[in-house]
Formats: sequence, C-alpha cells, structure tokens
Amino acid sequence: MNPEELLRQAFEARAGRVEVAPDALGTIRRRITGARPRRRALTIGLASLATTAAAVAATVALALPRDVAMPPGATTDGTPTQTATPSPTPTGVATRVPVYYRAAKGNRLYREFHSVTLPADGLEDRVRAAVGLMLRGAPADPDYTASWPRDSSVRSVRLDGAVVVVDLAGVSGNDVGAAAATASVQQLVWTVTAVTADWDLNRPAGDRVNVTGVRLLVDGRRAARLWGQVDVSGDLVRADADRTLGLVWLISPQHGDTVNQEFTVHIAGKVPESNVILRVLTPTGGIVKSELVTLGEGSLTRPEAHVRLTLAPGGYTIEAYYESPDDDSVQALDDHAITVR
Amino acid sequence: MRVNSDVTPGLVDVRIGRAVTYVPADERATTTWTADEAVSYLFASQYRPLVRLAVLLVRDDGVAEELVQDIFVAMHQRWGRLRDPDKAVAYLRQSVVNRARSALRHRTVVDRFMRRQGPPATAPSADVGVLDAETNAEVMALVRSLPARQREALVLRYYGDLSEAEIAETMGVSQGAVKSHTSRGLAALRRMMESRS
Repeated sequence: MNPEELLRQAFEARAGRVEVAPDALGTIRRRITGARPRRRALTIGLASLATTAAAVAATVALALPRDVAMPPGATTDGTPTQTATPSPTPTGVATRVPVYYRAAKGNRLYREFHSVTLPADGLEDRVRAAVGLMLRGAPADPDYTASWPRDSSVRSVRLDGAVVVVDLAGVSGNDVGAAAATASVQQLVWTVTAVTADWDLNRPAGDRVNVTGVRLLVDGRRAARLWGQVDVSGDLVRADADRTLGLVWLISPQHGDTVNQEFTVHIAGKVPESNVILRVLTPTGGIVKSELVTLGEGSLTRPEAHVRLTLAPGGYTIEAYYESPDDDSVQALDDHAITVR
Repeated sequence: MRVNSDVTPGLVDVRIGRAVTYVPADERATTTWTADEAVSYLFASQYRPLVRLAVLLVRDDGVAEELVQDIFVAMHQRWGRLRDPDKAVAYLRQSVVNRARSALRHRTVVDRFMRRQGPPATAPSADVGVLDAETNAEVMALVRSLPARQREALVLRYYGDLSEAEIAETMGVSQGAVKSHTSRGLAALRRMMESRS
C-alpha cells in the first residue's frame, strides 16, 4: 500500500468513528436564538404574534436533527423535544437511548431511538434501559424483532475499565438457530456500545468512558456459550458492520412518526454503487414519489444521504431499498409508515 | 433499473470533499433562503462531514463538534452576505480549517490531546485486522506530529478529496504552497514506512 492509500485508509477509519450529537441542531438553534432575544418573546403566546410564531415553529421543525432517528411516537412538530441535557421530570430524567433490533426476515440489525425516563442519568442507567428494551423486543417497526426469551431481564450493569459488564437473567435457554443467536449477541453489543458512544459524545475527553467491548454474565456468572450456539466467554466487540447491519437503513423518520409537510428523509447503507431507491406510497399502494438517491455523505464504510420531501397531509409508507444489479429485484427493503400532518 | 430518471436530473450536489448530498435543485435557489433555512439545509448535508473533517484536524471529537457548531452560528449571523450554497460551503470549510488552527493553539487543547495518545476510542470492527488498526494508528500519530499546514494539506487532499485549487482557497495559501506542504507530508510518511520495514 502506498503512502496515499495509507492516508486515505487511516483518515477514513478515524472519521468513521465520529458520531455527532443527536441534538446538535437544537444546540445550534438555541445558540442562534440566544443571540436574538426578541425571538424568545414569540413563545409567550401574544395573539398578535401568533402567525410569526407559527412560522418560526415551522422553521424549527425543518431543522430538527435528522442524523439520528426520532424516538417512536415523537412528533416533529417543532416542539423542542430534544434538549442538550436530559430534562428532569417529577419521576425521573427523560432521555432517549439507541436500541438495536434484528430484522424479522434475516438477521441483520437496525437501530431505533427510544424515549425513556430514568431514575438518574448515569451511564449504567442508560445501558440498563436500552438493554431492557432490547430484551423486551418491542420495536416501533413491526418488521424488526428480537429473539431473547420473554422472561429475560437485566440483573445489573457496571463499567469495568473499558468494558461494560452486563448481567442478564432468564436467558439461559432459547431455541433459536445459530444465525439468530449470533445476531442476538451482536444486538446486545451494538446496543451497549451505541449507548456508551452516545454518552461520550458531548463529554470532555477526560470524562469519556471509551468503551471497547461488552462482557456478558448470565445469572451472575461468565457463560461459555449462549444458547449453546455462540461463544460468549471473552469480551465481545462489534462485528463487521457490513455483515451485521441492515444493508439499507431508513433512519428517519422512524416508523410511526408524525412529521410536518416538509421533512427530511435520512438514509444510510452499503449497497452496490451506493444507489438507493427512495419511494413514497399511499396506504393504497399508489406511488407518490420515486427517486434514485446516491449515498455519499458520511463515512465511505456506511455512506448516508438526506433527502428533503414535501407531502400533503395523510398517511404514507416510505421505502428505501436497492435494486439487484442482476435482475432489478428489490433488495434490503426498509420501510416505515408515517403520518404527515 | 426502475429508476425514475425524471427525478435525478433535478438533483444537484452540495459537496465537501467526498461528502456529497443531493438537494433538490429548486431548494438550492438560496436567494430565497432565510438564515434559519440555510442553517437547516446546510446542517442536514454538511454538519457530519464537517465534524469529521474537524476531528482529523483537531483530534478531539468534542472540540471538533463545538467548533463546527460555532461555525453554523457564525454562518447564520453572516447569511446576509453569503446567500449562496457554494459560497456557504466554502465558507464552512474554510472556517473549520481556521478555527481548528486556533483551537490547536489553545494550550488546554494541546494538553488534552497529549493525554489522549493511546488506544483508539472504540474497538475496531472485527473485519479490521489488527495490523490495519495498528497501521492506521501509526499513520494518524504521524499526521498529528506534522506541522499544521502539512496536516491540513494532507487531510483536505486525502480525506476531503479536494483539488489543489480548492485546498489553496481553503487554507488561504498558494497552490505552490499546497504542493510543498503535501509533498513534505508524504515524504515524512514514506520515511515512517521505511523505518517500519
């Protein structure tokens, strides 16, 4: 490998590890608004300013972060639901956590963000909540699933150096195949490390946990194999993204989201020629929009694209997939039902 | 292919290096964009690539992201003078380089960086061989040790995929200087490779 290739490889590897803050645009907006104190007056509800306030709200809605999926049930109506720091509520701290699920067809993983209320906003609390959601297997998208036993639960979560130790109960027996078992272990690893990466995001270097792996305990003890299928005796790390993650991710809107008439679709994937088809369908299957989107933003290892759409109010299904170079068949379809208000 | 060819021509690209995002052409008529809309559109396509570019220049993810957020706030304030996506993208890119230089001059950042010398923040994927990971770490360490201008030239050329003219504009130097910085940086890298073999 020549020096130029070495540089490209090293830069790409380093840049590919960078995750941006989920609320980055909200932070920018707040700083902009902070520099314009008159805008804040719009929120006091003066009737004479109602029209302007609505316009501002619409602008904010356009600006909601699209680089991460919205929590299920969250609306993109301009309400500043995403804040720089979790907001305390009478019963705990509201935040959201990334959770990976397995495709119901096949074993590739997809990520959703879920809103949770925690007793305290600690790293272990977040991991516990995310893993709990993962075990429960209740994704927003019905095309996703999980294979963990119904009565499984989290006994404890603790950080041991650069490893998160997750102790699970009720997971010792499960009649699934090797592929589903492997995918389930990776589901756990990707979920835990996504939470820790999210945790590190806005923290100074000295405060980051920089987690490199996950140690799985079952009922308080190290297990040799999970479900007799997967070696879990050592510390577990993320497997190759190309072999583990869904080839096409429709990151946002998330399934079940309500969006404004103007919104942005965020897609990521690793497909031939980086070309993805984005389609919008009515509930009766009518094609409202179909376009070729070239993924090019972000990491070369998992390129992304943002596409702005304007739709009339109603229910729609958004599809993202690629077409087989061999026979034009639909491959790696990820689809989400949404409502446009 | 069942591609809707009448949609694709309507898309144009807004680009930073190899980070290309397609924006509908009618939405690119930015003379009608307000400053708020400009932030919204440009955030969607450029924020993440800019943070990644900044990380390669300042080495610290948190500093890089704060730096890029500063730039978006500044762009909003100056939108009346930009009002053009190409100008805005060039402005954002130049701002990343300039602010990265300023950040690196800041002693605390340098100290923070020195403390961060060590293993990467996250474990490499299983597909990334140990040798690759080690090589990448060595290359990044070498790049970090280069003078700022050489580092900028290499990052903009080999990560941003920018032309010499674009790099010169971004760095605020001549194309000749870009050639010089690039060749010196590559020479240092070759020396490193030779010393390993």
